[in-house]
Amino acid sequence: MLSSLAMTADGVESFDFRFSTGALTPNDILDSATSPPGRYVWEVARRTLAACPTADAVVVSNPILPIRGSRLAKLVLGGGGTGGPLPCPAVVTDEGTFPIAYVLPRRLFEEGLGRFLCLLSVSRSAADAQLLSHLTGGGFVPRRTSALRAVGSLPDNTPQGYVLGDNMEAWLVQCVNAVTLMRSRGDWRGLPFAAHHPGHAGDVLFFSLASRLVPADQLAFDAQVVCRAYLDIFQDCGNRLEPIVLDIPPAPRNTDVGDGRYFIDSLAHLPPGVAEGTFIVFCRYSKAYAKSPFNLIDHARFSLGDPVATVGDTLYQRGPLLNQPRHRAGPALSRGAALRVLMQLTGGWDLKTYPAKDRRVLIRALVDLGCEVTVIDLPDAAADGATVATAGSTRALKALLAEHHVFISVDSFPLHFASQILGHPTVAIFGCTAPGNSDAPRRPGYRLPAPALPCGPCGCLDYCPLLMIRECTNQPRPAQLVAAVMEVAQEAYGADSVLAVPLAQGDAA
Amino acid sequence: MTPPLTLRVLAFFDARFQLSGPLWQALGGGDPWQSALAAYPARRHHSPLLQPGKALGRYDLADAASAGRVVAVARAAGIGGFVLDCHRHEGRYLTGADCLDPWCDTDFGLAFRWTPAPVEDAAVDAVALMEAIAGYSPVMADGRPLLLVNEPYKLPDPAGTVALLRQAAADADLGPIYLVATAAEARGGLLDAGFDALLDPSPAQWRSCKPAELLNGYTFLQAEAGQADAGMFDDTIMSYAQFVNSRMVDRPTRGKVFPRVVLDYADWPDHPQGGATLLASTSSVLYRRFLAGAMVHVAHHFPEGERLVFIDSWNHWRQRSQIEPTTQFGATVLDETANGIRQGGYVALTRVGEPAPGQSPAVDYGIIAALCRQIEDELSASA
Repeated sequence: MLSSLAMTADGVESFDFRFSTGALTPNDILDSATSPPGRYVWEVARRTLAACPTADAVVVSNPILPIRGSRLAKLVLGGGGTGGPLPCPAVVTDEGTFPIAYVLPRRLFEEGLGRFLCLLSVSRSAADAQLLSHLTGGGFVPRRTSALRAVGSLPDNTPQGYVLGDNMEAWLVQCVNAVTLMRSRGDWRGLPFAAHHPGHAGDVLFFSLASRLVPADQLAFDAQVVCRAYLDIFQDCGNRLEPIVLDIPPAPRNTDVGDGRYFIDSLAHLPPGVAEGTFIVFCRYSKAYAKSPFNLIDHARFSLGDPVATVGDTLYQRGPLLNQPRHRAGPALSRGAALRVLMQLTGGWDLKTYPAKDRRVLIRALVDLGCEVTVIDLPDAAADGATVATAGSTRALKALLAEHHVFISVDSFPLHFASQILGHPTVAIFGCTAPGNSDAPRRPGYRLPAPALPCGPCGCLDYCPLLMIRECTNQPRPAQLVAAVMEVAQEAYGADSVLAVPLAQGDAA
Repeated sequence: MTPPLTLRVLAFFDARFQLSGPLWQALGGGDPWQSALAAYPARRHHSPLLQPGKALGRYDLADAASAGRVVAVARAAGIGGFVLDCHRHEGRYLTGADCLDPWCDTDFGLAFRWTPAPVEDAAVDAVALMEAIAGYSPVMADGRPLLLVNEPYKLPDPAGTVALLRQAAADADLGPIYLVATAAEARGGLLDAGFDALLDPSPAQWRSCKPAELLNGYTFLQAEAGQADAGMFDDTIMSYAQFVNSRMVDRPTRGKVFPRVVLDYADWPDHPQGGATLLASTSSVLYRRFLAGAMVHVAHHFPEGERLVFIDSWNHWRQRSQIEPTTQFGATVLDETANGIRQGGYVALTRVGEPAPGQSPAVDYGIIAALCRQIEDELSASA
């Protein structure tokens, strides 16, 4: 729930927006987990001013608070709190100092400074007031108290999907750093913006693709902070942003170190001079991404400045992605030759791993059907007739893919790289995660036997919360995957390729 | 609904909440809300019935404005129509559809559910049924008005009944009708009997085993001796998470069966002596995903024009399955319904053009399935 007020000479008009759950109307804003709350202040203000061209100013509610437009109007314009006419710019607070809304002049946006709102702390009115002061010419920006009783302690996870805790600190740090930079640099308006999204592998890929999809006139960022471990991904995925290389290990995949904490700690490890000349925006996960039905590439596009305002703008409704071929086949497959299948059956966390018994059936079935099977990073697979390989870099992965006709992978970086970057014939395995967040648009040579159970995405990393076992039962059955491999091979290499697999001569025949 | 998907979400609707009119008279008058909600838990695991919230309140459908408000709220949530029960009374059927019909159009229609009962002349009964459901804005499936047949296993001659219904519909100028039987899977001959599709049974109609079979001798004696809450043994209690999973697992193998999405279910008011069916640990988030998943399934596996998802229910307060706003939870569930419909619509849209699984002529699915089964058996044997 997001709200705003358009302030015109004639009066006030209130607007209600919502984090989209699928529809994208003028009042639905794409629910992006990688965008800090300030990005929504910018977007809501932009839409409000567009809808009300005569407005001189706009009041935007704090995105982490569920405030309806009617309530916002009462709080901002009603009695109680500080009296007098509404100043602009200003930060409206509860009866204490917590910011509940921002009063922003139209000229801030006309001067192209909207992106600076991404740096709002949304938790400290003093810091936000100083940021707005710089953005609006350096004058005093008052804090206007409202009649709302003190917001008090906020939950770690809000119904709007925000993950607070460490993230609140991260938003505050980015705001304070920005104010410091504005104070020290007279040329701050021209300094670059960097998205802090250093890992993990798949996330770097999504951001890289997003950077290529955002129209140049909407791209609000110039650089991206990325861990050195993922720099090859950043480069091989054609990221349009400048890399700012972080020479520390990526955050652990468990929740031992939150994204917000990692952001704060990592700032001390930025290359020399970066902090003194770059606005760094926290673009790791501010929200629980699985609550949003949209692809993470669209999440990232929104973060980078693209409004993604209609369903037609979303990834699935676009034409072929990034001018890549509809599909790029692996090595030639002559009649009678064995179909070569590459598999990635382990993912970023344990529950993504394809269950042990099922993977044995899958490998054996393909081997029995005459396929040559290679499995990445799973030594046990050799016992079932597979070759074991490693792919520690995008170059190694590319080389492996070039030697294989079809790729089967769980929801992990290799899957996204093969399907979204290379357009390789691919079968995707999703179980405990939502396909819509990270699958590829449908095309020939791509199959996704989608998980059917409503328990997913469960958000668990290493055990099923329903059955209390360490495997996800929402994964497709081996027979579905074998069939999908054959379908993909047929689409990518022609009907002869499937006939080349001696189906009729298998053991079961 | 997000274009270009043609998919409609319908909700079962109890039209008895009216304080005048033929249906009210036929049911004996009185306050239908009082009848529905006057039940108090007798067991500790029976959750109390919820109360209508301020948004709609205890409406009187006989009042046109109230009925219009109900339809408007349903439309706003993305519901595409209501399914009304056909109540038999003195040789004719009453549905209460006349209260709602003025507010219906091509985007929001009415469908009907008929529960067969023993009658002297089935043909006359079918004519009466068609007279009762003709003349309203229908929900169409495959271009035909929709009629649901509840408890079809009670029909002595399903094919004969289908023929009678079709003939009566034609005679009543309804034209060809789309007949849906309540059954879990397309085995058992109902499709062969002429039904066009099936619909998931309600939780009470579809249980994996009877409650009595859950009892061993000792627990039975304990319950009888009053040392334990007998209801725990007499009632069937299902975990909601497992229930929704069981409804969606391997769905394509069950054939042409429309999903029935349930938020909650507790029919203890109608089973005071035990034998109730209850869903435990219900969750509005799971419900949203259940709804969205059902929509995606239907969009992917059903022909255009026959894409329907049923929510059970809009206002079956006595079974706690209502999605209407409540005093206790406000519009939370209705909001989740709207969110689920938007989410399901969007996700289904992202899969437009995806080939239906198992349809490639170049692949022998039977051989693959047999081979995988054989390997599974070998691995099990060697373990």
